[in-house]
Amino acid sequence: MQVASLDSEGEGVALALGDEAVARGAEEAGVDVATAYPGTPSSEVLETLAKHAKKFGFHVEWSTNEMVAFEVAYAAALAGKRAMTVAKHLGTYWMVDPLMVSVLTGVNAGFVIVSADDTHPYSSQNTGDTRYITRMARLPEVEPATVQEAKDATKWAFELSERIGLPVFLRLTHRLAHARSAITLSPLAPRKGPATFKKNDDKYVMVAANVRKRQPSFEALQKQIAEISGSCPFNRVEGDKEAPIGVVACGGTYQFVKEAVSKLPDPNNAAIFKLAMTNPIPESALADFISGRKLVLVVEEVEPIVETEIRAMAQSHGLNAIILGRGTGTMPRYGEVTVDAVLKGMSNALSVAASKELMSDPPVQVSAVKLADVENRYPYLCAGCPHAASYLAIKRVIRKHGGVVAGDRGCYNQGVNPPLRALDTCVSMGASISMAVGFERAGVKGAIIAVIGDSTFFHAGIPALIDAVMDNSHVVVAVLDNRWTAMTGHQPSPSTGLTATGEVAPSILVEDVAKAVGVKKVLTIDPLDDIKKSEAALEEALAYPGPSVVVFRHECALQIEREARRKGIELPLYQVDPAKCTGCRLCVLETGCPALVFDYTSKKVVINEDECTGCGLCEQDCPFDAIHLKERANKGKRWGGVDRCATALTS
Amino acid sequence: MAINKKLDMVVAGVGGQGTLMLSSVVAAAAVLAGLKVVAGETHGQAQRGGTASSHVRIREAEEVSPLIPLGEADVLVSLEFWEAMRYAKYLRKGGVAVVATDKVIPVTASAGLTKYPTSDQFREYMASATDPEKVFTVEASSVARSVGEPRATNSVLLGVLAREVELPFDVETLKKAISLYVPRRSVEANVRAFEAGLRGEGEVSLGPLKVA
Repeated sequence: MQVASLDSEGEGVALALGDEAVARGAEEAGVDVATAYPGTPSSEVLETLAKHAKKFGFHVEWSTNEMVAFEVAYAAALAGKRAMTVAKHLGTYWMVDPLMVSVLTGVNAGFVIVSADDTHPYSSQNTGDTRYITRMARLPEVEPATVQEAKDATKWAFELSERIGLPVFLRLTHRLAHARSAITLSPLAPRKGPATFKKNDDKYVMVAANVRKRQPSFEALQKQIAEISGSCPFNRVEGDKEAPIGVVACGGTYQFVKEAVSKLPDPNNAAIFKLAMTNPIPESALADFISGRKLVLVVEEVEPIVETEIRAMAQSHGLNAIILGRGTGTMPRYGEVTVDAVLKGMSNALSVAASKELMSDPPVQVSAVKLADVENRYPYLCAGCPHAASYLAIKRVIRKHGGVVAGDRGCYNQGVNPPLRALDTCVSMGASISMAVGFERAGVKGAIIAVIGDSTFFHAGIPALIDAVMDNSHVVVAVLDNRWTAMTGHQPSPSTGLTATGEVAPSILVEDVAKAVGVKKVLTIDPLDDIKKSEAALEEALAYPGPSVVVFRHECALQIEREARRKGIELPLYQVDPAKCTGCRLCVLETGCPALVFDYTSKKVVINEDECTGCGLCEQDCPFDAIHLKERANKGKRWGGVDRCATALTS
Repeated sequence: MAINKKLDMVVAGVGGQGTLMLSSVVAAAAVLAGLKVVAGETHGQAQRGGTASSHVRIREAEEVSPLIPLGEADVLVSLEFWEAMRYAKYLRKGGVAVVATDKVIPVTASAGLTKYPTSDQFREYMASATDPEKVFTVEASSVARSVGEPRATNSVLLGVLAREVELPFDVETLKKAISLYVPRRSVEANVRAFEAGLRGEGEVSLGPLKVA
């Protein structure tokens, strides 16, 4: 067999991530406008679309934030173009305001909202379940179970959205978004004709009087949606009608449930309802499935939502099966659904049934691993990361004045890990600035410093900064500007000066925005230039009796390294003079640089030459003058003048 | 001889080492051989020096979940010494571990806040997961350097894997999969690295295990 490329226009078999399969589904459905703000585990959907946008001829954008992304795609769907917006669960929360209105206006072409929920989580401030949102919005939601189904369900969601004239949700969980498997490619459908927005103020101008007019038609649609749920092609029942145990496997949990059932002492004892349409649930099909069974276990990611709804449905249908799941504590209440978790849930469920003398209690083997836990490996700021230098200055200022460092969301979160421990809070996008204002207004003493990245600043920091100006709050806003949305894989940020498809765009400077909203003290520093200058800038900002902004600007070290490799430029390299190194490890503790390795034999620090990118921060930090540039061709030229951002802009 | 068409493999490493590339190559080889495959990848913070892993599951026809249950992996391939220990809990008894001796020392260990395991600790821990003679340690990065592509450590390990484990596809298929996934300019070097691994270059013994 051959492996086709994902950008093939025709048929074939390709290896794809769940996210990539969704992108392909959208392409095959003839998507015209796709938008997103990056966030794990959703980023690869739009990244894939961005790679293919020029070839296939559709519009793709990395929007400023998820609400903007939603509104851009939504308007395109009002104008008769198939549109998609993609977010992680936290981003979906950002969309809720316009989403709740969009259900009343409806859409005029397929509009699919992809929410990739970080369910465990691997890279989020909480776990996410967007199914509460689809219930609040009363919108259809489909949850695929396999990578192939992720593609097929995306196409189906576009058709469904067009059929009912409403946005449709596609929910992915982390595990499926980042599962890789073979998918069958189909040719791309022709896209819609020219955009047409037919004016209709009753329908699109949602003042209160018009809202009341729109409610009956939205209500009428609900009945149609309920019928469609019963005929969703991705729902199915497997196993024996007489099996005493019924397992409802929601979305991506299906593969785990199927595997767990195959490990039961008698797999024929359990039947599976593979549930893909998780809002609204197909009531009569589920009632049929439950009818005559003694025990029903509902398996779903994050919240016991379907479980609760099935219990209500069973009561209204007069069914008396015991219904168990996360809500009853039968399945683990939190943590990822795995084969082991399902087996544990089955074992618990059977003991409940046995205690009620409904069923005998066949043993279920749950694997027990006796190996001792291995110590955590903390993620860190990369060698040469300009944020490490910014944190060094911030920590010195905090050491002197006391105070609070309010953090935000991005790579710079790694500053919380040992040995840096440089952050005091991390909550949500933009919260660093508003929380700094809150700490200051509450009377917290010392330096109140907000730390926020460039992309996050544009996403959600600006309204908070205006708040600080309006209130004349004495806070220092440190914007760590590395020119990219680096955490999620270097998507362009508004400061990069590039579009999603690589065209040159205006590079928006944080300083310009800060000055424009009335910040009087705005400073710019290269954090890797001179640590003393960074400290002096922070001191100067702190001395100013109102809000101040210090922009720490230096391009992401990973991008510089890539660019150097691409151009064949040798980056500078540092070395430790063993005669001068006292083994105090201050360099490691203060910079947290992974290139600095403590040699337990010689009791001195050595530099790992494969890791070192030559930023020179350790040289500045060493009190014993033990670290120096290693003699090489381009000696003395820190970073060798490499700038990936500039290259991208000029090439 | 009937070829075993089933393989459950955990790939481990530290972000940036090529864990996902290695699992993608094996997945592609499975597709080329007409088999069913699913790989469950754990991304997220992996790029910043955190732990990175991927589960590759190959079957003749059936579709399975993207995660291997604990204690059921046939193979563990680790691009990093310590990370092998973290994922050893997935190995079944008698499962094969192919481990690079390369060490990515965490900053916390250099800072004196945590400890990096010794070879003795490694041996003892791995022996509690599988048979000691099924643990193969390879100086993968020095072999990769010797073929002229320092980043080809994953191909070296693939070579060792192909020698020690009965894979559900042949060596030529695996080489073809390598050529699909590594950058064009380093395909030849990666194939050389693969062949060096296949020949057993760089394999080191960590010494006999002290069994109580």
